Amino acid sequence: MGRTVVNYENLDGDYRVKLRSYTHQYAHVYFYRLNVLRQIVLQRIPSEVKRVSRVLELQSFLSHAHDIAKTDHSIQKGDVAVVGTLYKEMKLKPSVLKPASTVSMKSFCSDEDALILEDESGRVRLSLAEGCNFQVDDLPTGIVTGLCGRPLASGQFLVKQFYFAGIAPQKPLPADIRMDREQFQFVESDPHLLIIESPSPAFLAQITDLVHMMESIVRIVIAGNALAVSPTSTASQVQKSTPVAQHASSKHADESVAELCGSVFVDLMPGRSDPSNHLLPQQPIHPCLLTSSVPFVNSTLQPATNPHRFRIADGVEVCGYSSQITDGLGKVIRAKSGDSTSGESVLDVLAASLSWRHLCPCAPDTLACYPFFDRDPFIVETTPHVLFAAGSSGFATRVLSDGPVQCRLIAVPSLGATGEAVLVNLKTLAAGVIRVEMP
Amino acid sequence: GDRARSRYDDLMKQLAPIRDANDEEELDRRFAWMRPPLTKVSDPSEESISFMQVDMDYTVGPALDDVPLFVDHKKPGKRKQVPIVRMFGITKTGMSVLAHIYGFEPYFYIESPQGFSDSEMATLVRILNNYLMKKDSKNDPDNLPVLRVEAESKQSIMYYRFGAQHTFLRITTSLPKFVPECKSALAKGFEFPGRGPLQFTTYESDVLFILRFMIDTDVVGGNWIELPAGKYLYSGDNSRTVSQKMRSMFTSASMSDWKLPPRTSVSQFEVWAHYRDFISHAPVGEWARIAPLRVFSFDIECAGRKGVFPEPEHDPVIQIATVVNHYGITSVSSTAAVASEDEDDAPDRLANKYRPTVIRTVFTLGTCAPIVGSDVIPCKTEVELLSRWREFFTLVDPDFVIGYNIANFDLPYLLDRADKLGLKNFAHLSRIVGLLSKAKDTRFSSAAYGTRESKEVSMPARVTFDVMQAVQRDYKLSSYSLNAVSSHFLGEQKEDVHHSIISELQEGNEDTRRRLAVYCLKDALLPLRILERLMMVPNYLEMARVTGVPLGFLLSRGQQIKVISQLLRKTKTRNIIMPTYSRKAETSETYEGATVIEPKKGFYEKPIATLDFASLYPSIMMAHNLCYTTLVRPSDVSKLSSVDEKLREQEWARTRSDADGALDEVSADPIAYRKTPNGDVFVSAKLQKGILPEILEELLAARKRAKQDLAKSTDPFEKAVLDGRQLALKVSANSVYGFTGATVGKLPCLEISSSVTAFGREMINLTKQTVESEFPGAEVVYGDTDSVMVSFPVGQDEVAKAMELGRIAAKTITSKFQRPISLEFEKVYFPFLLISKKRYAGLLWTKPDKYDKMDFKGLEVVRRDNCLLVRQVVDTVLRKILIERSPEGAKSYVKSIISDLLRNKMDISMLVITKALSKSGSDYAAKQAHVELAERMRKRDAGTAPHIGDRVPYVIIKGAKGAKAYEKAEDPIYVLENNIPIDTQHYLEHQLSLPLTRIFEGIMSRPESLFSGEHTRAISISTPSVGGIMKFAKKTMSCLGCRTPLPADQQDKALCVHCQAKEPDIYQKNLTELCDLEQQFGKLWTECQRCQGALHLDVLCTNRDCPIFYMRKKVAKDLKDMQDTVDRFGW
Repeated sequence: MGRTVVNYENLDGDYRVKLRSYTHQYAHVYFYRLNVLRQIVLQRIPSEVKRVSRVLELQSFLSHAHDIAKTDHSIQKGDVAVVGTLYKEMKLKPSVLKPASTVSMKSFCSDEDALILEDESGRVRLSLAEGCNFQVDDLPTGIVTGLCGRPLASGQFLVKQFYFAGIAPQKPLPADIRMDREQFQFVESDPHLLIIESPSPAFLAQITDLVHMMESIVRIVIAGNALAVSPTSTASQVQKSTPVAQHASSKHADESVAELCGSVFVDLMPGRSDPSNHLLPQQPIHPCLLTSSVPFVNSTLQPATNPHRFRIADGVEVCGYSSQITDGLGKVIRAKSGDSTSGESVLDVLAASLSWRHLCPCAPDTLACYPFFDRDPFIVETTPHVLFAAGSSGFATRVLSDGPVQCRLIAVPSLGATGEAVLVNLKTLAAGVIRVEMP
Repeated sequence: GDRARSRYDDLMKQLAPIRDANDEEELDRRFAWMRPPLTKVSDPSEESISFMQVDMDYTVGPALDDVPLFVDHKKPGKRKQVPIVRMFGITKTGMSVLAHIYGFEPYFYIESPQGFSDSEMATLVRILNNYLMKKDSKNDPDNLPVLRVEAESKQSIMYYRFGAQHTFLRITTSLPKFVPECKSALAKGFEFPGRGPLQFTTYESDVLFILRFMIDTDVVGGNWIELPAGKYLYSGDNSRTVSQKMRSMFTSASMSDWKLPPRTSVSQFEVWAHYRDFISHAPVGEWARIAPLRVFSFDIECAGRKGVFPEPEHDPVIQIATVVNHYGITSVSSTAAVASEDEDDAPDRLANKYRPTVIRTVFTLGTCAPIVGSDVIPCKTEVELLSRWREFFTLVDPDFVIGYNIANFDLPYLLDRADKLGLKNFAHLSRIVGLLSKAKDTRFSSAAYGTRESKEVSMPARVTFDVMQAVQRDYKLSSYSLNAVSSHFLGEQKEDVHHSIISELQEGNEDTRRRLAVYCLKDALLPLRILERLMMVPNYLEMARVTGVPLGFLLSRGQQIKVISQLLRKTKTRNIIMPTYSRKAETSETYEGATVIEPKKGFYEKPIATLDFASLYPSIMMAHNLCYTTLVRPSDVSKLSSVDEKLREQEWARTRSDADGALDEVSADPIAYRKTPNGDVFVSAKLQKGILPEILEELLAARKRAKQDLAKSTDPFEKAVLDGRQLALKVSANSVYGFTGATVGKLPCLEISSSVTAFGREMINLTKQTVESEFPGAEVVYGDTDSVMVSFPVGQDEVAKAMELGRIAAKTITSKFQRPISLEFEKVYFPFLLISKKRYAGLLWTKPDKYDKMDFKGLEVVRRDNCLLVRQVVDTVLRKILIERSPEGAKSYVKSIISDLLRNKMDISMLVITKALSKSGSDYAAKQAHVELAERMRKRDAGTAPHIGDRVPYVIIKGAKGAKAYEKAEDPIYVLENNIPIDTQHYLEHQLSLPLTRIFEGIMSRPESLFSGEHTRAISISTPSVGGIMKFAKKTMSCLGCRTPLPADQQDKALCVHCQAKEPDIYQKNLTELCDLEQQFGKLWTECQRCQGALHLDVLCTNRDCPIFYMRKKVAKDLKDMQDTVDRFGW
């Protein structure tokens, strides 16, 4: 019995940036994003609300009653709606003008954060009614949102309800695949996908052993930081270590990847400390750095982008990203549990981003991205069947469903730090964790 | 009169129907702009009126002597035209009022000749009138210049007079303009029947009429005036309506039976009263509050032609943004704000529309997309734009007109432009009907502020307040651009749009014009925020109240007028008058200044206590009774011994009568007078108290009270007022000394000022001696003017002990001096770096447990003509030495900076030097770097080259051998774009070397060694892409590994065959650099997006004061280059 082969289609096209140009500013990204999502958000807004589409028109609805009860968040006659891009003012946001603190901050959230809604026509400050469906801490800069409420005499807008684009439609799953909400069970005969992040060469060797034992693993996604010197170092720290030492360590990793590629299909995503570019989306790792594994490129090795998207097993769409996006979002939203890196918190962010139809809205504000001028590849046009985020402190999974749309959300912990890898059964789309011995 | 009346009606007609009266939106808008509707006085004989006056002037008009109210006050003398003082004020409910005050007559004094009889006085009147009538044939015989001459017993302020009073003649004229005319006639002299030729010295003949009025009626700048019921005539506003609907709200004013004089202003109501009938309230208690003022802040944008700074002769005004705030009012009462949405009763609805919140408008030429929270008023033509803005101005009826550089730019530009377009009424910005504002050139010269040439736009009845001038006056900053000032006081960078882009935005569409409008509004808002942050309104108002001058004088005049105002108020109560000092020009008489105890330079790693004389000069003047009135003429000194004798007897008698015990031993020194160390003699306070000491005592006592109240107060608004007052009192006290020493001043008296400094020197020296003799081991390390720095024998970290000794020493020494001189212990410096005279740095401690801050004097950290690098390096070095206590750390930091500099690793924004281009190249005597550069830039691209008035940023580049210094300045952008090598040696030798050597001198033996050695060996110079040899070079690709040129057939490769094996390393090295640049790119542009406050609009800012500007430019270029390099590796 040999390893099962399932069909696979790389869908990274949107994330690829071939000819890079830096003559554009970031305004285009927001502009494009708002234009695409505005129409969708508008459809979500209840029809009884007097519609307004641009911020500037709020002026003519200026409310006389500026002391209306802040607790009454029910939508009333006379309320208006406005759609725009959210901007969150955060005092703790790092700034190039302020001397950088050497300690990297866990969170930029503070109690003084404030929300602003913006469109091409202007900005308005938001004040949230008590009982409003979302709080300042729940929302990041960059999402396109609709607001119902009323403008106050002070010039602020009192928000009673937020409306988002909502979960995007989804391609139907192939007939033989069902979304299983039960506990993950390893079924020898089902094809499986293995997702790992931050594997050291020693861990990679163990994964290779594992793959030898488990023939049902049809593909491995390395969700970043395989070639890194150390999983936490950033680009500028890498620069300080000598190129030779640096290369020696990534050479070792490259050899391990090559060994893995001898047995199974591998998708190699770049991560925060991999030799790829800094601005998102990160581009596939250059083959010249894969001295040992380069022969497998175009056969079993697929250098991928970060984020990464592909179709597998006759129609299962999988999408995911590496730890810097997880971290970036975790810094601008306050997790319910207080720990933004816990598996559950990461799942919350994934679920929220599907409802915003955007994978990383805080790019470019706090997460650096390429200055796109004709598209925003992070917009979620169709909901994938599996969405993973690497870099959580522990494994977690759940199914998000919205009518017919169902999506398996997975928080993928760092293999190097926890010894945990994630298995996804491609017949049931259930996900489970598999523990590898610490080398 | 009738002409004024009809002009007023014209103005109102022109205002009212200009827009369609049925346009509800326009009506609502206009209503929202207006002042609160007038609550009229129904019966002036029953109600009193009070208001806070903000400006005052006078005019000449027909006498109203026969008006019943004024008849009682009628005085002899023939007059048809009389001076009328106009007080412009605001009531506590925010209504604007003009009070016409009648009956006050100008006057001055002369010394009376011996035995001058009544008939001789009549003769003098006749002589003067004849002379003046002859001199100017236009003078009306029914309005004779001199009304009367009366004899009064007075004393001159100059010299101690042994109690003698003299007879002076008070000459009253019909109009203020006759005072100087009489003065010159009297000074020149004439034949007097029976006495032969006579010449006169005049007294108080150059006191401004308004000031005279204020002094005599106890009115001070910005105080409250009350008109008691039945003592005034009233005319309410009934013309400022814009429609019939509104008119119904303003019922017409109650007219008294008497025919009122015509209204002459656009104030909401006018009153007429006699000067003896109003009450002037001292600014205390409930009368200390500030009336609700309308502060109008505006900014204009002009469309310049390519490469030329806008000129009113050619370039249109395209936008005017205005923000109006209400000082003292933040929101309306809730009843007014909660309006019903039902729309039936029109007047009520309109009344409810009135909201004294912030008004923001922007008038644009051409369409403009709306802006949230602001009224956008698009105009089709520039004429319409200017006229509508002027209407808006009149409707708002501002009390304060502010802005940034409005005095020199915005206001004159608007006036010139309106004139050019033939808009005759535009200049009608004052409250006086028919009075047009004009810009005139002024040259303002003052010992305290230096000489400044500027324009002044008169706008009677409103206070024009240029925030830029006020900041320049009160704060020392490295730059006074709006960017720099807002960044300094508000902690915000400001978006800056270059004027070459402004025309492009204007020519675009409604969205680009909106972009410009948002920018323009910001520039109108910032001055208002700075004004509020610096609490300029309460501070200036309190200064006016303390010194007694009108608000308007504070910005347009120097310190002297404030002292004169206080002096005259005091002399009046003592029956003393001041001679009119005829300025003796060219007196280069100077006197010895303060003393400086030679600094014992060095780095003190132990606490140094600082002892300060509190208000040194004022307290010397008080302690020694130094005054004009106490100075004894040298010829009178001999008469003093008998006076002293008499005083001694009196003293002796007094002490014996009220003391049972032993008598004090009587000192041998005279008690009636004292000779100063300078040799001048002043009588003591026991004999006669001086006026200056009395003024100073009152000022300092008032300051003490204000500080006590300040400590007690909890209301932030009241706190601001009180703090403004205590500051004003302090500044005023200190300016008295300067007044006596100002040789070009109104009443210089060098005997006083040089005695003050002589006492000061004596005191500093005595302090040094006392400290060093009474505290063994103590040493005075430095002393200057009013402070000494003492190193007490205490241990390394004994701050508390040093404080204790400091307090004891201060007390001991204070007891040796005459009251109220007081030496106070204030602070300890530890550690302390004493560099030279007036240059030192240290950590400042006022309590023993923790230092308050790092303090430095005279160091490059604050100097503006240095590049950022110098300021940053000096600041960091001081921090390392003083806070981290690590001189070694400071040295290695300096070395690393020098190494970075020489290796070309320094960010260019650190090296930029800026200088203002104040006149064109040919006007400078010597060639100047920034002027030459501006010329060169003009040749490259006239559109973006700097203009006169701009600041030119430049860096010093490596020039050809023997290049002149002025040829080595270059535009930083040009340097970035073309990789031009920086003259790092210049920065090392001419910028860093001096300040660093000074600092390190105290710490190490050979500070020069910092500038040579290992760290200065590695040098890298960029290869320029323009000029020189580059013109002839053919571009050949070279290997990214070893830099050898690639063979012709391998030009598309990244590496040569030999380096191929090292490809991963070389690729990775380049990739790492790319990542760093990408990271910077992201950070910089997102920062700019945040700063401009818009995500959906491109950043246009060209604020060169912002460090990001050059970084952004550099990263875009470097990133492209690096990307090209990395792309060579292919994929």
